[in-house]
Amino acid sequence: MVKKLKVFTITVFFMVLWAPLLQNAVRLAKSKPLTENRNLEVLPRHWPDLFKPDNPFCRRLERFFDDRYGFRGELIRVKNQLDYSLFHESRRIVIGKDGWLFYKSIVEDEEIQVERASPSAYLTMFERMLQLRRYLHARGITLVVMPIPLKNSIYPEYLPSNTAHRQTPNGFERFRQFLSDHPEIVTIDAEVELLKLKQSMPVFHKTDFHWNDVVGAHLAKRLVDTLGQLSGLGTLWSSPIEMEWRPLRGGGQNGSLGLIWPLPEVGMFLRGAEVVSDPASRQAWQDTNEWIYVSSEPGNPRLIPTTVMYGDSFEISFYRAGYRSHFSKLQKHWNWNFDKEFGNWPAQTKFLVIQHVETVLNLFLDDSRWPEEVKKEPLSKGEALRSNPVGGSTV
Amino acid sequence: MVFSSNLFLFSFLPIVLSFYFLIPERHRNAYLFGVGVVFYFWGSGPVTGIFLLCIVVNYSSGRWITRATPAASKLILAGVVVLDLSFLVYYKYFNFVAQLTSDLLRFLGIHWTSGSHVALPIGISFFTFQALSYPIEIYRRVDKPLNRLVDFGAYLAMFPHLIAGPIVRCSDISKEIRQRTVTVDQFFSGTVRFTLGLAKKVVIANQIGSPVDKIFKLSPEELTTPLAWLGIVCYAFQIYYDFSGYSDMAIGMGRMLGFEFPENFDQPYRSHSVTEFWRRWHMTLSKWFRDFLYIPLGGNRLGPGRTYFNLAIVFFLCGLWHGASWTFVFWGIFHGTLLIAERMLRVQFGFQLRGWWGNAATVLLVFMGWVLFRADSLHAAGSYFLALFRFQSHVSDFETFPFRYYLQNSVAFVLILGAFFAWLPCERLEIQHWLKKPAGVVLQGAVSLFLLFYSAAVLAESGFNPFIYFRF
Repeated sequence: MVKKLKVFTITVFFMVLWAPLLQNAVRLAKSKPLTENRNLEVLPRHWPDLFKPDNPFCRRLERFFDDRYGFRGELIRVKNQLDYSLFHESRRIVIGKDGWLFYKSIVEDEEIQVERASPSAYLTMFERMLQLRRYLHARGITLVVMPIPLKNSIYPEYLPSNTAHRQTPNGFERFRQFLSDHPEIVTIDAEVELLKLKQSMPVFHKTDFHWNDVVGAHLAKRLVDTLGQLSGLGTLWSSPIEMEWRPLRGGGQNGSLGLIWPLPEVGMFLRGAEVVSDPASRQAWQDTNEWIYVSSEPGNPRLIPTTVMYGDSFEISFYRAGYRSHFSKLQKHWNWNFDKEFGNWPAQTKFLVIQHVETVLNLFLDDSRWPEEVKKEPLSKGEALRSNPVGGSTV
Repeated sequence: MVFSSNLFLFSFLPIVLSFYFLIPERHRNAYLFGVGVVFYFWGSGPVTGIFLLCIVVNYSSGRWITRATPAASKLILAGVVVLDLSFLVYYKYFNFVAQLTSDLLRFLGIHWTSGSHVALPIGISFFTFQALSYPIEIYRRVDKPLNRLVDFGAYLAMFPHLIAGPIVRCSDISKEIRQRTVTVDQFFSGTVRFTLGLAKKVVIANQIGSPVDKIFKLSPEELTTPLAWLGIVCYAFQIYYDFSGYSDMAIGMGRMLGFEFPENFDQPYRSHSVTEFWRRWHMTLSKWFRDFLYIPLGGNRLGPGRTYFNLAIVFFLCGLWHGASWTFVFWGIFHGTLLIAERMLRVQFGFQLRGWWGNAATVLLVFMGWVLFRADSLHAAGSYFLALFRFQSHVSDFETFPFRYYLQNSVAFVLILGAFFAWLPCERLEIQHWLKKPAGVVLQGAVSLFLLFYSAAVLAESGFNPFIYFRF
């Protein structure tokens, strides 16, 4: 009897060890893949690397196996579910009160990096912003900046106590103060809008990184109307902004939580969204963050002139609200490609919009990421910085 | 390829084990030799040549020693010891010595850098000591030489103990090398031991390691006293469960292949003195130093002064063996000093701490020693010690990360579990007899399979790296 039990255990032990390989080979069971927003490792093919020190070929092969072995998704979900259910924890997500989720990499890493930049780095960044404005102004382009606070800045009350804290004022607040002190840089302060809207509606999804599309539509309207007024066209937005409630599926933070049973959320959505206006005019370059849109009526005087936007995934809600139809030509780059794609603009560009979430300040605080042509732009003597980035008092 | 990797668990191990039992017994040593070389090549690449050279040299020396005259065999032994240690010194300490030389010359106003960097072959400290034990024990007539190079290769290249111990001497397993069968009992025992070791490493050590990395990266202004203590307590358990877990996996796999490796850890944090600690911690290393260095130097047979000197030498080298860095050297010196002090107090004053006091004092001293072991530099270690005893010059008023950020629920749970099993008086439980009964076997089987499954889930999740932003 004892021997039979031992043989049984050994057999199960072997079955467990062989299961992933067999799953890859013959698909023992159905398996639902995880969404990771990255390219999985590919099979290495450069055989000479086998004979290099530390064998990089085998290390890549190991990473390839790590990304693709059988039942990987199931094992990940089991672990994440146990962590969440037993300890109310996740390796990647800050689990807040009342089901609110926040990315750890944002709250505990990228935002803290913004805080840890030196006062001189902030001063340099502010100078670069002024230089950028002058550079663009000399070329007939108006700079428009739309800084966007993240979920934990708008909903700090839902953060748990065991996560990172930021001093007051934090780096993003100091940046907004700088913009406020320099009205020559056209600023659409999203935080003001969001705090206003927060009084009457949820502005961020609980289980996704982004604001909801209703809020996105409000900000899109602000952007379009601002550019319209600057173009002498007045307010241009006329579409109603109506909301509807339905289950949110595929929230990014929910996905990163990687549970067997994702957290349910009924989210607020824009009624009539997802309808692309003037679809024939859209030309995609690479992905949702790099494209060019050309109106089928480029001569229409009620369209905003050629605009370049450096933005991110928050801009997608503008798209779903139909904002592109207000532009004669709109070119979008990912804001993290600001330095690589600087100057790659259509002729007769009139507006350059920088739409960015607060952690993109890490890019602007890195002086090596600023284009040389901006750094060379002289600042006038009178263009002294009017706010002290450290203490908040004016000069 | 480490044992706690997906590729090892779900590819290398099942394939190797399955073929091991499919091939005829007479070819199994050659098979183990080949598999071991592949395993080594996987992580080290072309430096595997050094490892193969080590096998050939030490095997050959064993045969020559047996056939040579006493004087010649002494010379052969000396030669092979010098050769083995030369490899170790060159590959492990070249960069350290080069840096030291550069620092000294810079102090004298001369700017010089070596310009070359020697890559460290994985596990060289372990396989060199294992290889060295062979000709020495043959010279001492402890064991007879193996008849075939393939057999010696199977011993030295055996993947379970190849790169991280236990330090297995050929005499420990020469009988099995020559003739072995694997019984169901042995294999079952091996699977239980292996999964226990895997869980110790993956579930306990890796989990506890998370706050350790963060705390040891803090600047002196951010390192508060409570955090410093949390960091060192967590590290003490991390290193214990990591190392002992790896040894358990090696011992478990050895059993599955038909070998009984020596034990390497015996609940070292239950020790009542640092002397006892070294009888329970990394036992195969301490025995190696005792048998091949301390005793040849005279041990404790030549009076107290010489005994203390021998202890100092042994622990200086023990520290250096652990790593080519001043922190490891000072860690070794620290332990050597404690051993000498204990011996002095015992022999000359009849004083010895016992019971709870002895255990508490030992644990405190050992834990403090881990600061040196973990710190990146002596300067960092110094700052850490100051923080432990509230002697930091300045601590920031603002706490970016609160204490609970480092001590999350899961870490606290695993820490308690780790402490429980580290001090559990297993020898008093008297369950060995019960474990042999059907209920005991069922429990062992169920626990080990659960631990295997859960460890696999932990490993899988550690490779789950979703990106926030679309980056493709």
